[in-house]
Amino acid sequence: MPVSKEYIIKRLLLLVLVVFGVLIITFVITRIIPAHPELLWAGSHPTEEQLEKARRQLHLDKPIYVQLYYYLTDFIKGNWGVSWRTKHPVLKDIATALPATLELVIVAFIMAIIIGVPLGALAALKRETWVDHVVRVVSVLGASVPVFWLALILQLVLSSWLGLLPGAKRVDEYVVIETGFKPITGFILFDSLIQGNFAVFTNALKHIILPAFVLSMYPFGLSARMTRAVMSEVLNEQHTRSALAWGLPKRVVIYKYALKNALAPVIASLGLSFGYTIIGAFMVELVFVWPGLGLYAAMALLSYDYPAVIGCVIVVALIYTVINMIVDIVHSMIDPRVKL
Amino acid sequence: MQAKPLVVRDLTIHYYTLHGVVKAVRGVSFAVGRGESLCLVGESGSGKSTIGLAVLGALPSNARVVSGKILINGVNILELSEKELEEIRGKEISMIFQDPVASFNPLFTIGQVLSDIIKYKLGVRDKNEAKKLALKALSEVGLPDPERIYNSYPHELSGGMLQRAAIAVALATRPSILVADEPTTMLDVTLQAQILDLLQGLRRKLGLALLFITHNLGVVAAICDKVLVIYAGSVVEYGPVDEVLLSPLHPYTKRLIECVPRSSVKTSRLKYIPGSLPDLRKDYPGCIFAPRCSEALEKCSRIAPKFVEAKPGHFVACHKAVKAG
Ligand SMILES: Nc1ncnc2c1ncn2[C@@H]1O[C@H](COP(=O)(O)OP(=O)(O)OP(=O)(O)O)[C@@H](O)[C@H]1O
Ligand code: SF4
Ligand SMILES: [Mg+2]
Repeated sequence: MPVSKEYIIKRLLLLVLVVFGVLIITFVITRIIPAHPELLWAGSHPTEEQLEKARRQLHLDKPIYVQLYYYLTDFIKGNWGVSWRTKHPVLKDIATALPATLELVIVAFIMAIIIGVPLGALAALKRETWVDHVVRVVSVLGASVPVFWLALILQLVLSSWLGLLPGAKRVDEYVVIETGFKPITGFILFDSLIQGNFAVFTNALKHIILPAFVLSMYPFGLSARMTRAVMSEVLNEQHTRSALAWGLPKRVVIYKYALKNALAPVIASLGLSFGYTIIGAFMVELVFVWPGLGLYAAMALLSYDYPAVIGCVIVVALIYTVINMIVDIVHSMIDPRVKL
Repeated sequence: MQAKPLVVRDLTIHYYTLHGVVKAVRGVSFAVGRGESLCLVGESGSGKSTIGLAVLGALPSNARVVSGKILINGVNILELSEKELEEIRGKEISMIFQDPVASFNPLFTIGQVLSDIIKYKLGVRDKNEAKKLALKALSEVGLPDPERIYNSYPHELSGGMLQRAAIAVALATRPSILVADEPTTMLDVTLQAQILDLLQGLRRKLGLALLFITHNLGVVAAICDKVLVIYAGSVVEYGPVDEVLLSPLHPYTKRLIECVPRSSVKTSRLKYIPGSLPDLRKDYPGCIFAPRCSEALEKCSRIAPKFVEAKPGHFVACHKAVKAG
């Protein structure tokens, strides 16, 4: 893999910079702007005792730069505060919620790519035919349908009315209890599979289909449109014509050669759409009561749970930077001209 | 007598565009024998590439072969299905192009392309066996260190090396016909000569029928046995290379030769033929070159000249030339 040390160092520095920036911003918003920051920390209807405790924890009697010092070092040490709402340490809450969100997003992206890329390629091959038009309509609809609306409709029709698929939660508790399933990584599909627990696996799979489908709509539309655009370009390039002239079978030229050219831009655009997908995930989790970061953040926001909100903001910023790095690395793996 | 590998008869090709039907090739006939090389010469836009692509059955989708025959080893490829054409490409006929860099997919090594072609065209499934054949093909075109070239991506090689690699790819499957569409135009002069030498050698060694497309008469002299001069999609002159270059009959050929820059004659500007190609969407009752011809006779714009054998083996379509000859 053509990834240089400089690149890794540069990226790690960027990571630190982003996290530092986010920490500063949250510090300013929650500590400097409010007249009584301890009110944000002590929960609703605090007693004087609780307020005093919060003041001590936040070092409010000390100068601002000392407060900032403690703010940063606490973060590094993993003391992200305690959520008012759940009464658990924020870091622990996030560690439980994050795998649920990642599992949902990963399944959604896999669905989007598996359906979107071949459809886009097909549309490029059958340009200006009914196939192309159908793919265009479907992918534009997919990319523009409001997530919240689609989630509610599908939940109502497929789950409530027809009872085809479960419309809430990741897995049914009774299956977990009956089979004595113990999560390891927090990715239920993965954990159940490596433990050979197929009852939990199929149950979790049924649960993830609807939310992942809703979430996959935007990346699906995007990858179909992108694949079609890049493929039509690549199919007209000289190297495609040369490969055909040299006698390579058309299917090989299209599905092995040209498709690889289309892959890098598609992955890059999916990576860039990640921010949008996370927002989508928040809404999908809200509708499908999916115990992920989105649900956690939404609940935290609604209950003014500052430590939890700050924790979520930092984690999302971290993920965003890491995703960009992954996109870069995948790009360099696909395209030998890209040196990182 | 065995049929020549490539025979084209009365080929007529139209492009369908938003601005009308472009009659790009207008009844062209020629044949190339084993070990023989035929040059197609003419100005830009005269239809050379169109003919080259047609011969491979690889015309753009907006092109239609309106009439004619293209016989490859006796089989009219215009009657073949897309699947059967795919079978013939590579095996019986192959092609190299003007831009060697653009001819290779930037994401695949030369070796990957070569191995795939060997796998799909020669049916060699064994990876080591395929690689051996690929390395052999690369050393055959005079590439030093075939192992390195095999593992290289296009951006790691120079234009000259890539054109050699393209020749290796095109000939790895041992086709009997090679179409070369301006393969040296984008290379600098010393490389041009090397590539021409290479093609010349391979033609002899493999008994290739070579259809060489160029607008450069200097190149023609270096590589061809026979020359076919094309103007606006029509053949105007055909004959052995010495005959055509040293005693051209058609006024268009004469102008082309005058335009070749000569080191002995110092001129400040490049010569060109006055006027431009006619509108290819129209039909012309007389000689299609008449509007630009300095020797035109009165009947030229009314009556089309016949393509006749003016001297043994030397054909021309021109009222003036035939009268004089
Ligand atoms: N795909 C196409 N669609 C429409 N017209 C085309 C297409 N390709 C070529 N033509 C037209 O057909 C005519 C012949 O083009 P062709 O490329 O065969 O010429 P050429 O002799 O190879 O020229 P050059 O020396 O520039 O390569 C030109 O008028 C050109 O504009
Ligand atoms: S036929 Fe007439 S117009 Fe045409 S090339 Fe000959 S002399 Fe010129
Ligand atoms: Mg051309």
